[in-house]
Amino acid sequence: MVFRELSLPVRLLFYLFLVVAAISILYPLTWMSFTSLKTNEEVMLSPFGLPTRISFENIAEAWQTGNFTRLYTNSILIAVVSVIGIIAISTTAAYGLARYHFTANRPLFLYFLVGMAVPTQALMVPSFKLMAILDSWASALHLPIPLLNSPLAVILTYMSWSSLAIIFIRAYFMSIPPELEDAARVDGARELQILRHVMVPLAMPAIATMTIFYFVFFWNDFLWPLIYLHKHTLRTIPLGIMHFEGKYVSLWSLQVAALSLAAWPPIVIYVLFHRRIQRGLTEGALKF
Amino acid sequence: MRPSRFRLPPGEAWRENFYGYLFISPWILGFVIFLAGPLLVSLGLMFTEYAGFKKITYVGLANFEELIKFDIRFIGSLRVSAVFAFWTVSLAIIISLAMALLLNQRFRGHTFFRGLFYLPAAVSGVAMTFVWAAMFEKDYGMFNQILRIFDFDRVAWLTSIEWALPSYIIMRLYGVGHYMVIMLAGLQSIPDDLHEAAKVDGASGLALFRHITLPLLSPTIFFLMIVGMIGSLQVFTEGFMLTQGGPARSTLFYVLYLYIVAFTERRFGYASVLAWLLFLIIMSLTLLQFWLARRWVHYESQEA
Repeated sequence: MVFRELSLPVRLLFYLFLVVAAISILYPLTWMSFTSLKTNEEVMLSPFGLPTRISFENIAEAWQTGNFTRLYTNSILIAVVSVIGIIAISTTAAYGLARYHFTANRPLFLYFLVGMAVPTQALMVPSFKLMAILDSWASALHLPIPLLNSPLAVILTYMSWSSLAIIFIRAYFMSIPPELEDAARVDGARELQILRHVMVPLAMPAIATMTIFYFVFFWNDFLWPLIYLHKHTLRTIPLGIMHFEGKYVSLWSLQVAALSLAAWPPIVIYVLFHRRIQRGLTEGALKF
Repeated sequence: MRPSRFRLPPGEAWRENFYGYLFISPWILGFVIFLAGPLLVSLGLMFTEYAGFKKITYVGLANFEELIKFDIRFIGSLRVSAVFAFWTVSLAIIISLAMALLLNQRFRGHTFFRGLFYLPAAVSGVAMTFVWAAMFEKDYGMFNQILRIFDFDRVAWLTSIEWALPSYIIMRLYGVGHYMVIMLAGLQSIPDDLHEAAKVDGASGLALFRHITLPLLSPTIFFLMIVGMIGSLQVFTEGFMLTQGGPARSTLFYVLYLYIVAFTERRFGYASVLAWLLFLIIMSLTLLQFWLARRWVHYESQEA
């Protein structure tokens, strides 16, 4: 079926369907953004109309009362450090798996495939306990590594979920011809230098895809901060949002403004990188 | 392409092992401490009663006995999650297939629409959950506004026993763009000449879809079934935030129940049993699907 061969009414019907689907997809997001940019009176008068004039009143107030400076700092800290850690670990591991025939290569690769299916919820209880134990050991040794009620606990847990990144980056490394490395080796490069100066630049598309993927995932994750972080100063954005929504149930516009503050960063990331994200997704699925 | 390990000289084999383990070692360290350790501990916890404090009691198989004999909430939550997973996965696959077939046509703006349809999948999370709660609101929410236009009665979406779970299914289907992008990639990997050849032989549009598109798309559909099932059996955040399992446990998802047992009731031993059972269920469903897949999934390379 070639689109241009279809009759005009069919083509119009087709576009009509797409537009209706597009509106229903955009509606919740636009509603959220518009409501948060309205004044309180306007929300009361016309809850579903367009804002007549843009007001950042509610956004500013939500930022203040929700302490979003703190929430953003915490969320960015956890997401950025975890992503850097996971990318560093996965890239080196993927290189080892892709290029060296060490004895555990095959079994480890099989583990990574199964590892993606292990529900992380099975780890909730023991991880929580483990952090408490490690924390008590650290304080007994007078080491300044707090793990109880600490973002470090969340970061370390996130960093152990590298199965997907390892499989993904490994597949990309394997598609790079080994002649390039051999050439660098002839020039006297050490193995680690080859990884850093030859392989990593070449695998940048795969690494970038995983970086975006994990960042958005960590940014949105709710369960693990909920388990580890029990001080309000440590809350990440999802935790902060939950408490904010509980506290200000009656003030609609303010609540929605807080939601916008949480939802906009992933939207911006998506709009900037959507080609890369979609390509990454499809590559992953086609290698299955 | 890669030289076989067995043909390498002894010095080389040593070198392969040295660098292989060197590069994998940071991962191994993290794995042993933060993944393997906790997993082993939770295996052991299944046979204990433990509230997270000093005292830990060995109870043998009592936790398993409770699970099988006395736990109504467990049966209920298993049912809720199963119903949720069944409907979300099957509807998501049908809808995304239809959307992908449409977007696979070469018309003006198809990249724009593709980008747009994926957007909700990227912004999922706590904020979207609350936006959805607003959409489901009884008086002013989007859904009841639409119903009012068509003169239907209002529906108590998240607050009634019969509509709460369907509300979550609708919420989940909002992220269907994720499926669609993958489905579309599957469609685009089907070579055009197959369709052309069949058309020359006089095959109708429906026959083309049934005998060429669908079989060649089956690996993609299979992948989405597995990933979708694993994901929707682990649903937690939405339920925790909006209904906490209610009304009348109609939205008590399995992982939500697991969380409540662990962190509200502080029964870590029993929670470990629930967690491992979930793992077992997911693993066996995945294996079952792989086994069934041999009958309906068509891999190109097998035919060649």
